[in-house]
Amino acid sequence: MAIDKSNKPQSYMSLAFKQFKKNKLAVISFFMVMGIMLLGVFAPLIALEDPITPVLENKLQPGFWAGNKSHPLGTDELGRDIFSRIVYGTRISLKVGYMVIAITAVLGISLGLISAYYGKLIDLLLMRITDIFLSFPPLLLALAVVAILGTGLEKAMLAIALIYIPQMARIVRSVVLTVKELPYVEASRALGAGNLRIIVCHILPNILAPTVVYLTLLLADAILYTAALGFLGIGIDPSTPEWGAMLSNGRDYLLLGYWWVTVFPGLMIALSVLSFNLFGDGLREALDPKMDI
Amino acid sequence: MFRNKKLVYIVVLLLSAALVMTGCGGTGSPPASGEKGKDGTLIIARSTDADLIDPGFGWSEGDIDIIFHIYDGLVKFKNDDLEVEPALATEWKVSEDGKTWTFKLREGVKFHDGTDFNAEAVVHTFKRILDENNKYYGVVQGGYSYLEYLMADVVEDVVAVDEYTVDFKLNQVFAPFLTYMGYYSQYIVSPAALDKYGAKFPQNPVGTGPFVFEKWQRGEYVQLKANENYWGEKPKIDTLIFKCVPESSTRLMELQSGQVDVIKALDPGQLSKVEEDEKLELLSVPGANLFYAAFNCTKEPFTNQKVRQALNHAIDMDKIVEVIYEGSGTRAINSLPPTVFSFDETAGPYEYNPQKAKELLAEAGYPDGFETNLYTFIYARPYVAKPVQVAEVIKAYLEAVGVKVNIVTNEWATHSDIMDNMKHDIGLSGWYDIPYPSNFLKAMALEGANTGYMPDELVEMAKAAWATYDRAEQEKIYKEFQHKLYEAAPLIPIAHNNYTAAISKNVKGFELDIIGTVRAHKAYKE
Repeated sequence: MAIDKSNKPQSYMSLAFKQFKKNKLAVISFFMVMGIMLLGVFAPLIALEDPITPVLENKLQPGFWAGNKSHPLGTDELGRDIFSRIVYGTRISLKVGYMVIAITAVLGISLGLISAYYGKLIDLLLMRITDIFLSFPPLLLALAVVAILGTGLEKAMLAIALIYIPQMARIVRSVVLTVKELPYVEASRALGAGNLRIIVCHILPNILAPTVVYLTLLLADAILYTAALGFLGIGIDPSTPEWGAMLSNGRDYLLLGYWWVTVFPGLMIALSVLSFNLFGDGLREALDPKMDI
Repeated sequence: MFRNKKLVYIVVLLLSAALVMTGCGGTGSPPASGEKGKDGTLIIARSTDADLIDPGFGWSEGDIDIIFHIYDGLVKFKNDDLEVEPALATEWKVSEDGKTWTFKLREGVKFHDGTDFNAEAVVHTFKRILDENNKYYGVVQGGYSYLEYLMADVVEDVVAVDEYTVDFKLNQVFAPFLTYMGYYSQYIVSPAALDKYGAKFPQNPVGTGPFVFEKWQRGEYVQLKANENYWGEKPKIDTLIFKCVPESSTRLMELQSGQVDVIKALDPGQLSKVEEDEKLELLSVPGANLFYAAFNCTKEPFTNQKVRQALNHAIDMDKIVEVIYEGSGTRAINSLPPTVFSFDETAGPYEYNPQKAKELLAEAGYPDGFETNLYTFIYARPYVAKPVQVAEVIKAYLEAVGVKVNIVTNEWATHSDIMDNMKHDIGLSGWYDIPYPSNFLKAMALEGANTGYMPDELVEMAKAAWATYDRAEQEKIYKEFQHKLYEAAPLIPIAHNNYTAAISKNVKGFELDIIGTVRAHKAYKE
């Protein structure tokens, strides 16, 4: 009897990896995401110039299309090299993105877990608080937080994280509610495991898939919201090469013919948000057992 | 199936018809200039709409432009030195002790509502704001009154001596009095209209001016028509429209396409576009304003005069004016704009000298510099088009001499709140005002700039300058004042912004004055 290879038992991760490989868009986006990360990591090597200090003599120079070799993407209204600013801007966007993810993950997962696992009054209280936060339009909430805390990159991160913590908590809670009723949790409890052991060893590993997917998608959103705050001129020191702020500064020059000041940061925002979104989608398809084949 | 398709067609048709109809029924934009068949309409596009068209309470640029066309004052400005000439008053004199001003009023002048202009109107114009017992006091709830700000401390009483004579009784000699009388906030309103419209008077302005209020479409435009019975030179155009177009690039496009005749407040980058365009003409006047960086002199390290002087030396203002103002401004020498009388060009500026800045910092005990916050605001104000960019350039200059700078940007409201509560270290701000020395040297540098620097000596000097009508004496005091202020350096004077407007070449006789208001009194189209 020939062995049917397709029936060979496969691990969850290798199945997920196969699924991911099937999705061409996801694979492309994976390489783009890696590219963006490398851009950030090696920014000082890739950038041509200091991205912050103005060089007033060079202001608003066109780039490679006008044969400008020293500033391939042109210069902005204060004579800074746009290419270098975009490269350094990658660091800022990723930094904000990762910090937001970290804050959201820690707070969102703990809140959701506690709320769902212990239930009753705690659940009621925590969920009503998240309701309050969810009732604000996201950007307005972020603006209000910045207005209260004051400006600065760290505060902007916190403001953006605050948008997502309640959503994260909601997602985690809904998954935990199903997981905690499953037989293996019951079995574990029957064997005398404590709450902490059940949460850490049995519930947490089983809610990781949806959480990871959500966090990947969140990275794209966080980049977008940082850009939005930067665009409004609120949040961070305007000399920091932040994509949204660059976009906003260039807006005044768009109709005067200096399109490159706006277009390149805009393209970069679009490109990175798109890659992270596609990557996140690919991950979701791969990790979600219900979406098998 | 067929029936359904038909239904879809009908719905689509109905929907598109509805769209077309809403297009027609909209409250509409002002009539295009060519619509009436003759060029009797002049349209001015500005960034803001009016708010309160009332001399007593209007204070934004959007109001002042219009008030100058609807209302007249007792006197009006003759030139940029703010010397005055007769308007609603034909002659005036001041008493021996300098405390009583007597104005002879022009006879036969009528308000737009047909009532007579007389001494009674002048009395009510002032007393409705200054005297609680006046019957028009508090009728208009306008909030901040510029008339009150300028006059409340000095004007004791306004008395109608006879039908065409008015006495102003002051409690002290008040040097800027006659100049202030030529400013919009002291323009004369119709008491009959106050009776008729009450609290709605700012929406139904009635004055004696060359133009009569016709209608106001909130957020869109204000329309005025020529006053056929004007006592002075009658306007040459029939209709004057102030249109609100918030985006500066849209304003320029509308001017280029001929939808409007005049646009105000150009972006620096647009100036060359206007100059290149053969059909347009650029109006640019050196403005009576100042953009500055105020030190918080109550906070370390800015309590130290050497630190303040060092930072003044550290910045190349000429470069800032050249690159960010794009030449549409002048480098500030000291706190007083050069267009204002008594300006002393020897009282400043600090030359750009980073080496000297470092030496001064070392002398002050900061050889390695220090870290500080530079507060700025987001959007353009009359004295600066790009406040954030200026902050970025200043940061670079200060870091070059070892001072580490964090820029903090905020909306204007939050920013001015920070400044007013002295929470800043260095704060960018500005001032625009009647071009009278005390307004920049006393009202701004001492009281309004949020530097916390107010030595008794300078306060006394400002008082002394107010207590004489002799311009030569005033000049002497103000010049010394400028030197002392320059030495102390409580702020970094950066630049004076030019006020700009662009007009179609076929518009003649149109003026932009030193305060930045437009004057269409003599304008006409060819």
